[in-house]
Amino acid sequence: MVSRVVAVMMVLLCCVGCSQRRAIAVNEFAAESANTLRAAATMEERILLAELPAENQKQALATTRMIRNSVKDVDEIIDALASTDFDPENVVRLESSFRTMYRHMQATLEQPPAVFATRGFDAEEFKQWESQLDAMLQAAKSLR
Amino acid sequence: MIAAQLRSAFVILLAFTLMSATGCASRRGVDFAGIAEQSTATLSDITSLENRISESDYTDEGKSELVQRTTRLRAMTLGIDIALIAAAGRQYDQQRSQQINAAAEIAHRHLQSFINRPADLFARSALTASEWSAFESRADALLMSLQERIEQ
Repeated sequence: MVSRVVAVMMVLLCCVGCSQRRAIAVNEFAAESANTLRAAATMEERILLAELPAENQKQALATTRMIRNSVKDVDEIIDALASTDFDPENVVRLESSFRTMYRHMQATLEQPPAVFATRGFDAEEFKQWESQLDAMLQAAKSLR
Repeated sequence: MIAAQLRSAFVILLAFTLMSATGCASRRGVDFAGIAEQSTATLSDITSLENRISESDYTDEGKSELVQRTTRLRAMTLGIDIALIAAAGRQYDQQRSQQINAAAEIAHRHLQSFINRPADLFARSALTASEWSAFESRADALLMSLQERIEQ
């Protein structure tokens, strides 16, 4: 009798463990978001200090604005999902998406200002960002 | 009687623990932390290369062409990371997870070896249509190999 109870309890515990749902690690991403915005501000300072042609300076500042918008988009997605519990596979997938986006945005903001200034909105990397943001948004909507 | 039942309960518990432990050991996820480090290293190498290009005495037009290449390299790095997101949260058998990790590492190593050269040597390869095209083909093949291993 005792052994049966123990066995049933173990199976139940295992089932609960396997299907443990959790929310996204919001605090981690708040820190990443703050770091990315700081990196954007630093880049803007470097752009203003660098002796760039007026057109390049304008283009570069437009690009930092675009990155700030991307940060806002990711933050809004995370905020909308903050109180939702996901199954383990989906939460890891979403978190990996967010980490990837922040990592690439931060890396781009470390470029030399003159190089950053010559980048256009039509660059393949930005298109990939946008499609990845869309994919994240769709995935998040379907998983809620 | 109770002692016998407790003993059998202990045996079941032990068997269950062993089964769980074996199951956990034989299946695992992709090494995201390790690959993220590789990705960060590749991006950092691209930034260093861009610094070298920026400080070189190429014309503005030449620099702009090289930056198009480094932007493409960033896009390739992002492509590897996006491919890996499909594997996030999934559990693979040990061999498959090792294959995925290896494919991602090879792709990063390949990118890094192309990037980590003096700006002049990078420019020679990057601006020669045939060499750049050959490099892009190899990079695409590595990315496809990674995607196949993830989706299999």
